[in-house]
Amino acid sequence: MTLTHEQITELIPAFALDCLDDEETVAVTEHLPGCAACRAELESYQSTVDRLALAVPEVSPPPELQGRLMARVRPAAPVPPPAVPWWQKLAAQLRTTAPVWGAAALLVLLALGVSNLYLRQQLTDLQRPAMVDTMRTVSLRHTQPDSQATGIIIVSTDGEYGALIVEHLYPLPENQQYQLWLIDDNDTRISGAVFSVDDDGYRSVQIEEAPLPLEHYTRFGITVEPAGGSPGPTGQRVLAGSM
Amino acid sequence: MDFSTLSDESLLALIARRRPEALEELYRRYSRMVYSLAIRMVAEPSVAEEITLDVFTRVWDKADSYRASRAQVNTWLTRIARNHAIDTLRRQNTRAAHVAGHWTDAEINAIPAKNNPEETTQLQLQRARVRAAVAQLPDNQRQALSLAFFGGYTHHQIAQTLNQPLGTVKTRIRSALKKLRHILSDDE
Repeated sequence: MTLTHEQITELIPAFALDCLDDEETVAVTEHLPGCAACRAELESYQSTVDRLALAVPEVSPPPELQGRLMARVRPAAPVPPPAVPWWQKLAAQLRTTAPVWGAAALLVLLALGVSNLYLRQQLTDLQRPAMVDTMRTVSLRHTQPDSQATGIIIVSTDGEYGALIVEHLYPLPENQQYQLWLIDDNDTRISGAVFSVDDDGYRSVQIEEAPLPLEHYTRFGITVEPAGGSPGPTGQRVLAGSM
Repeated sequence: MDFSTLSDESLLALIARRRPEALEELYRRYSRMVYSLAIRMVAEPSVAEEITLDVFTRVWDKADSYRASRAQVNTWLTRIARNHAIDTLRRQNTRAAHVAGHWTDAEINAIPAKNNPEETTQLQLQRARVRAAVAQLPDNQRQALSLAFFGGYTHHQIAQTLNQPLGTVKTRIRSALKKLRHILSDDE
């Protein structure tokens, strides 16, 4: 079908509405690439047709339809990497710092298997098992009623070094960090570590800042402090425990 | 991030980056509009639900093809929905019985729903303007337009349905759209 420009122009509104018969549709489609005026006219009418849908009386879809939609698309959504258990994170960290830790690191790794059991029991009532008589561990309990936070401090056999593992602490804003306090019998508080947690509230850190061997300290606490830490505890205490 | 505060365009940008929360928010805003059009065209709720699902699934897959310069998000969605519904109608070669009538006074005079908290004031105004524009059309033009817009009928099919000459139907539809374009362009 061969039509003039004027005839095509008359068909543009119906083309936008998609109600032309096949031959007319083909004629308009073939005309459009070479005619800027008709393309502009079509765009204008297409906008009008699009807006007609707004006049339709409103009806709500069934509530469960959203769930069906999300079930349809979520498999295509990026799958977050599987959560790495805390003991694997710590093991990886210890592997990278093995030269520093030396024999103590190996013993700490040995203790991980046992301490894992503790944490799996939600770290609520830590009891030292016979097989780790050479290790000392301190469980840290949350101090806030609505908290799920748990923690454990593992002290090396020689009492010199230690590692702190926490789980389920709330991630803090950028201007705040958690700070571990080492407390001796004189109630002197020394910073043991300043750290942040990941989105799961997990973090393992080495306790390196203590001026005295870790076994010198009998109590431990973790508070919320300004980023970088404080000379002494100033913020809310979130975890606490004692030898 | 509070997705409810984002613009439609920002939501589409995030959907293109595969953020399901952005799709949920877009669905929350426009599922009612898409479903309303679909069920008006196909009448069968299960088919309208499938069309609604397909529209938003396509948005999920093709969000990066949206161009803000060419259409608003809401009209882009309804265009997808209408094209999908027309394909369904033509494939099934059936039409909802109510389409055989025309755009009723009850429909065009319907008050935009106030009980839809997701709908913006701007969208409510747009609805009111379009309904007012449709109300200004002569009844025979509105009838032909309704068969084409909701039923996906061609000129020939409308002429047969209304038992009117083909030329008369073409003129009615062309005149209706010209008048609507004129009225609605004044609102822009």
